[in-house]
Amino acid sequence: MNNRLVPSRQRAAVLSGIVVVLLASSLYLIFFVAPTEATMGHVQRILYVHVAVAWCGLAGCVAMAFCGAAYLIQRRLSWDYWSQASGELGWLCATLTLLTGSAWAHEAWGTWWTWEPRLTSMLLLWILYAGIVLVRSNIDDVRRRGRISAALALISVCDVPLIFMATRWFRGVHPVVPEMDGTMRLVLMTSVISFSAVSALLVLHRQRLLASGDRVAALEAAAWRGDASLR
Amino acid sequence: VAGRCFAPLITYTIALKVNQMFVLFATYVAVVLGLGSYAAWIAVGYARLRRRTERIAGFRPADVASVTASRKEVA
Repeated sequence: MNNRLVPSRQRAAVLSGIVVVLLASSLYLIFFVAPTEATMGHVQRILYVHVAVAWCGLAGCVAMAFCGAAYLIQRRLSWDYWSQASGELGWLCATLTLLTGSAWAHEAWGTWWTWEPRLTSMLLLWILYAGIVLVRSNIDDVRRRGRISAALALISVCDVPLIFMATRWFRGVHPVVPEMDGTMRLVLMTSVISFSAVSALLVLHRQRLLASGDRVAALEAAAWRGDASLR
Repeated sequence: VAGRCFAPLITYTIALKVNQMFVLFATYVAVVLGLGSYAAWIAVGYARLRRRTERIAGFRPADVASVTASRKEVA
């Protein structure tokens, strides 16, 4: 028994370093390469981070539901850990989406919030995420927690197509596809890729932490019992 | 006349720009802080896990026996 349960610091540092470099170059592109938009000015640069975190928030929900479904089929706890990690990250990204969107709306529409279809459906997803995280924290039985969370994740994912299509199906003020030139599109793509990499790294570490935590708890229990295999 | 007309306009434009830059800055700080605090929370979790694994690795049969004895004593 040793620290093999926890990923090596070197490997984690290398991966984190790559992601930090990616993120730093993305921020450089956003602030120094992307042209300033004629109507909104500098504040339009919020869009690059808003779209990126919104994408991560939606992808987190899809991943959470997929892993939840896999858990219901296979009943392997590792799927439940993936589902939990994706859900937590998705919730964080949904929160950041609402915050960045609110700041952008204040500058573009002159209001912090409006009950617009895209915004309302995103708020609904945030509430669903919050519900799942709260339910998880209040159920001690891991199997039961996994089943209930998976069911809730499958309900939550129904909101994702609604969010995606809200600007097309309903009349609202949120832009369907923002008009951008080639450089702006490139910067946006870089931002989405770098934020996706950050999110993937965080989910990976969180999943490993959850899995390792359970294994360590089992070992601790064995140690308390004076299990011969530990000597 | 030009000064009277343009001075408030320039002041307003600067104020608006500062305000816009503040909103932009605050937005990016919020995103970095949000993701950064989640990463820090995971790092703290790893540190705790390392301490726990070290504690288990440090267990000896004598330790287990003494713990069992003290538990019986308490009971």
